[in-house]
Amino acid sequence: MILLVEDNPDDEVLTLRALKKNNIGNEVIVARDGVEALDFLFGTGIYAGRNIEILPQIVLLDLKLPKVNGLEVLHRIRTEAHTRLLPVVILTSSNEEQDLVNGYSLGANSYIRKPVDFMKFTEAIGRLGLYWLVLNEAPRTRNE
Amino acid sequence: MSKISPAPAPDFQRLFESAPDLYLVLMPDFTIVAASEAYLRATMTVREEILGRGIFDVFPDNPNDPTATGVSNLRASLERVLHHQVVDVMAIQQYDIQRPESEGGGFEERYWSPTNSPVCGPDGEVTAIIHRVEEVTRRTQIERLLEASEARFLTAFEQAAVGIAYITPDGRWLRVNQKLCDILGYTRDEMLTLRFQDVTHPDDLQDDLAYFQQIRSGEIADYVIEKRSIRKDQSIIWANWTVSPVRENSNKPIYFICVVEDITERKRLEQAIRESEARHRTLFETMAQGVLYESGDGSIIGANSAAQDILGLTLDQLMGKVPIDPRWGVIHEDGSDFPADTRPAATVRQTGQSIRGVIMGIFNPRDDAYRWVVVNAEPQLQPGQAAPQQIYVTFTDITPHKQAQAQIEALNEILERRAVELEATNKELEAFSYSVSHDLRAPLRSINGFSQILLEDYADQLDASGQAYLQRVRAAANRMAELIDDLINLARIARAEMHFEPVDLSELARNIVREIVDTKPERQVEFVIQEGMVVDGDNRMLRIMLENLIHNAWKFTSRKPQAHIEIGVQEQPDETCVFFVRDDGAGFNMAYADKLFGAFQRLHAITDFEGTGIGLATVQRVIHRHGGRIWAEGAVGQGATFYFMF
Repeated sequence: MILLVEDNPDDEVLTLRALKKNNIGNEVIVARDGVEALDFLFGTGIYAGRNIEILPQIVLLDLKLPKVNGLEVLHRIRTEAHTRLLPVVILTSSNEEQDLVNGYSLGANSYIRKPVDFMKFTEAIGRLGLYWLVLNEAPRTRNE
Repeated sequence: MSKISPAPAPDFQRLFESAPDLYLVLMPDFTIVAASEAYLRATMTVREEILGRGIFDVFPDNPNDPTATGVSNLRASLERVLHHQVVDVMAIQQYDIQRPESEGGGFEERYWSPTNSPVCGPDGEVTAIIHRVEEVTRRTQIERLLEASEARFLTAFEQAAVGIAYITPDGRWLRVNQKLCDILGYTRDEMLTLRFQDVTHPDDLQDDLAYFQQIRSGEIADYVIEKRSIRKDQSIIWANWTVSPVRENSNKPIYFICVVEDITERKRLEQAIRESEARHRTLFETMAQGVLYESGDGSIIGANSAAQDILGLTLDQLMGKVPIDPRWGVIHEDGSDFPADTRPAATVRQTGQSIRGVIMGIFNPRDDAYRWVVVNAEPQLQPGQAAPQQIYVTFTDITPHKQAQAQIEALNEILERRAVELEATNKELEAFSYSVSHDLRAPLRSINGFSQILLEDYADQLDASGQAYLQRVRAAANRMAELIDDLINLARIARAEMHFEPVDLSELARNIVREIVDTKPERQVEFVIQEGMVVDGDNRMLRIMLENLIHNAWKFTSRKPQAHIEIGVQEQPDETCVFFVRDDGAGFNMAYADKLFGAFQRLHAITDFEGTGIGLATVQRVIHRHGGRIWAEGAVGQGATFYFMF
């Protein structure tokens, strides 16, 4: 399972297409703001009652989000014992030094700037999927 | 014939005894056989008590005077008369006389001038000796006194601490003492061949002679003059001369006494003191610091011009002689009144301790404004006294500093406000840049992405030109993304913080060249990079700058099968270093050289060479931020050289 935190519907469509083009068939949960992402992870709000034992294999996290921004979401994920070891890849338009530093400081596992050229974007998503979903050995938690 | 009856024989004994002089008659064995009355009176004796007694028995030496020689001298003289039958005149003798017990006894000092004459019998033998004495006690005593006085005078004259001379009315030295010889540097014999005029300094001679004339003519009783004299060795000395005449009975001066005191050292000290005084006076009057002298009771006894100027008061006002402008007053830095009894001088008067660095404002009526001063006050203490005898107050006018300080504070306030504004502007700009880089890219991604999707999913519904148009849409989106990135980089360089450190440009260039060659390893480009180009600068910025310049050279040589790119440095005659990046590529027209470094300025069609036109603007900004300068030389088809220096 992949949690895609993305507020831009175009980017959502493009990301999903890129995943599909790379034959990544995992289930994708889309959270359209920070609150939705946290609700999903901690079984609150619209996801109240969800079995939070089931965690995604990876979180693709945009930084600029309505309500609660990406860095705050990351901070919550790393503070809670439940999600502390969850792999988080920041996927954003920004290449501001400050965002990079803050992202890694808060414990992001990777930082990828979305290329404008869709072919390059697709290629990047492909590599990302290959690495985090296939090659990488995740810690033994109760995720699916 | 007349018969003259013989006169009766005189009574010789009576005659002898009544003789007015002092006589004794001695037998050859020195026994007294006769004495005149005068003798008896003079020697305070009685005839009956001395006749028949030996003379030395009657007149022994004064036993209180162990040096008495009267007896032995008299005996020797009497012996000479006895043996040689001649008159013996003795030198003046001290022969003290024994006072009778009735007059208190003891001896009385007496001086005598004795003469012993023989009286001879028919066979020539001495039968008696006439001892005649003249009492010369008084005369001798006066002579002795005179001698002593003369001796004392001579000693005083010779050993005097001052020079003394007798001079004749025409100026010759009659007598000079040793001190005067020492003062003038001549021997006594040399002196006596000179006149005082000969040793007097020519400039002082006229005055001296005028006085001398007046004293000679009796117009003045004496005179004192300080004048210069020329010593034998030609050196000049100052001396004080006191000249007074010694007049004879006719009141005509016979000679003059000069007392000469060497005052060269005093004159030198006086001169030194005058010079020192003049120096200090000049300093005192010209110094910028104000100085006041106050007496122990607080009244002002002196002030220099600076003090009068700073305080806006005249010396008379300061010294309490003239009333002070009613507006005159002293305040603390906070503007409150500075009462007189707490000001530095008053505090020093109370405590006897010096005070430094008190700041006060003094209303200056002439300026109609306050003057600010830093005041020191120093007591002058007499040993053993607690209260100062005088107080020195010095003060420096710091009004200009105060004004400058106020100005600086005002400017600082403005600066601080500006800094806050600037910070806000910077924040806004950062937010703006962030938005631009983040938000503008998202739609571009959509344009590009969905164009690509159209091409992939609907290729069968689009003809070749439709597909070409979509490719153009995609390319335009990519190009706009590049533009945005370059613009953001340009803005970043303008506001990024700089960290200066030594940067090896040679090494940077090698790294950049390695990366760039990897992108198109098939190209034939010869790179020449000079070693050891090290400058002080911001490593990241300098890398961006070099990247841009080398990329430019790489790009504009892309049409050449064999290209040559050189990165090096030229040392100028004034020891500054001019770095350069030179290529033999497309070059440019020097007419447009000034447009090279503007953002979005391109000298080549985009179809010829890719690029956003921001690269050189970025390079220039990096150079400017390092305080340097950049310029370019080139010709179309001849390549280009970019020069920069820091």
